[in-house]
Amino acid sequence: MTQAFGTARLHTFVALAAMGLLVALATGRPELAALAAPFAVALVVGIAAAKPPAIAVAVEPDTDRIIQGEEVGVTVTVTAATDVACVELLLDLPRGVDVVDPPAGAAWAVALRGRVPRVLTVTVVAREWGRHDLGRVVIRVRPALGVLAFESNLRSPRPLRVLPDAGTLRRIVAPFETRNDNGSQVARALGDGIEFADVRPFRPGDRASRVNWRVSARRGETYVNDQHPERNAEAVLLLDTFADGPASGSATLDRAVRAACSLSTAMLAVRDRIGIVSLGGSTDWVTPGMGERARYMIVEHLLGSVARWTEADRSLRWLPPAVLPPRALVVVLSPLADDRMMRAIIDVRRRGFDATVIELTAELPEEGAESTARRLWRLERELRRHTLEAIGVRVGTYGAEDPLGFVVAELARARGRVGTARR
Amino acid sequence: MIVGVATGAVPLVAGGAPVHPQVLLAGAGIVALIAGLFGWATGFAFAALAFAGEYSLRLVSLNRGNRLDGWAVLEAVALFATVELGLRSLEARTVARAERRVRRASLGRFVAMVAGAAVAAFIVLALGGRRLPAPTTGLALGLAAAAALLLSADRLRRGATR
Repeated sequence: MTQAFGTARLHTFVALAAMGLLVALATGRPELAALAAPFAVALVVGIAAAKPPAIAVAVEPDTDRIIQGEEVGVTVTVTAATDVACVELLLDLPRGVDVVDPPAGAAWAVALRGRVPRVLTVTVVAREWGRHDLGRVVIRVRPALGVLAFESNLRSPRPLRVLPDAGTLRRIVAPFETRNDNGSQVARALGDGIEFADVRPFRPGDRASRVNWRVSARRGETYVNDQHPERNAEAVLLLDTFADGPASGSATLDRAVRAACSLSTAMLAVRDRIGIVSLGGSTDWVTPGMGERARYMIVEHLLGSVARWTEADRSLRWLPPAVLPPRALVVVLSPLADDRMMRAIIDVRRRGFDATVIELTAELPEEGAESTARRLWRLERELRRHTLEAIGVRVGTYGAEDPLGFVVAELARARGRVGTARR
Repeated sequence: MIVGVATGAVPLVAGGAPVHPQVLLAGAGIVALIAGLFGWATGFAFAALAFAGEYSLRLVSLNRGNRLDGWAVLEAVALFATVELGLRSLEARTVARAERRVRRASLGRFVAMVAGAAVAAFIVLALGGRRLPAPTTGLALGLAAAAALLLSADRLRRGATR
């Protein structure tokens, strides 16, 4: 949609021409009419010659998916139906996306030749994760003498998906139970695999390749090696979206999303089936899946995560059974500030799920550092942690400055089993 | 700013009028011009009015009957250049970086506008060799022209959506 409006030149010229002509007529002095004449002529010519030019703009980022903090090139192609002496363009970038190059910003004043596309490039950096729309361009043209201006707000959705970055995880929280499909998790059961488990006497049906010749020679009878098979597992990431933490430092939802993205990427890389549930103002989920499709769906889900407060009672009881499969590991990402989330975790544990919590510690304001309220807040959190650990849920704390890999490794160690998966 | 000072100096150089009121009006014009350069676009209109008033003092003082003042063309061009350059200086304060082609075209357009201003002023002056109609008729015509101009400007200001 193009909007036409008069510039400051229009108002100034109108006032000067009108006043000059009026005084000239009143006094009968042609010299005063001569002073007003250039303004009157410019006004008439400027209005008569001003026509809105037909301009098309296309915005195309080099890629539609980047990691938070990465730079991406954006190409802006402008085409005009006729020659235009000067077109001012502004690429209206969303919050969280900043211009790197050119340093002056994503704004240009260029001359266009009719039907000849003009290509402009800009490099932007994504400071915040999420779905950003880069397709908003503001165009302003002041044709002829600049008495009138035409401004257009062009919108052609060009989404840029910025994935949160919490680093690459070298270890993951391994589930206690595995599925029967092949994967990279070392199962507790015995079977064909690589990981050594035990030595036992030979039984009919054992393969000769599993015979442990050294033990057999020492004992005088045939012994074979037992192994742990490599299986895949199912995990569900439970995201707390009841409320975001304080704006100071890294907000809890931001950390939760970054952690969920890293965990899901690491778990999908070892062929686990991953699902996600957001519990908060609205309850959304992605059914566990594996491979690139699951990763895409989880990322899409995470990019749309928003904290929404609600007074309504929320529970996992209403979820479809496929969302929380039996024997799935439930990894909770929560600041443990909401009672409903506490109840949900306890409910999950009571239903026999293997659950673990990554607690997103909220930074409190500095004022009143030793206040009673602060001490009560800390005690309350301690109590919640102990409540969860008493029912067999391990809690790892993830502060604003902590590296996620360290938190996950500590959690894996605390769960009493090495959570390394073969890659 | 330089062009503005020159515009204020034209009537003084031309002479034929009391200097003190002219200097006062020129000073007022310069102040309005400075206000315009600080972002108040209406300041340019006030500056032009002050400079035009300064020139009018010369016309009043000369009072040469039917003889026309040749300095009017120069004054008209200077006034137009002052206002146009002032408005351009405001327009140039944008984040959009103009490329060389645009700057060159803009300069060419300015030269053409100034030349056009000179021609327009000269034609009006040449046609005005005789006195204009009686003040009453002239006043009515002037009022009608001014009203028409202001009305059309207001309509344009409201912004027609196309």
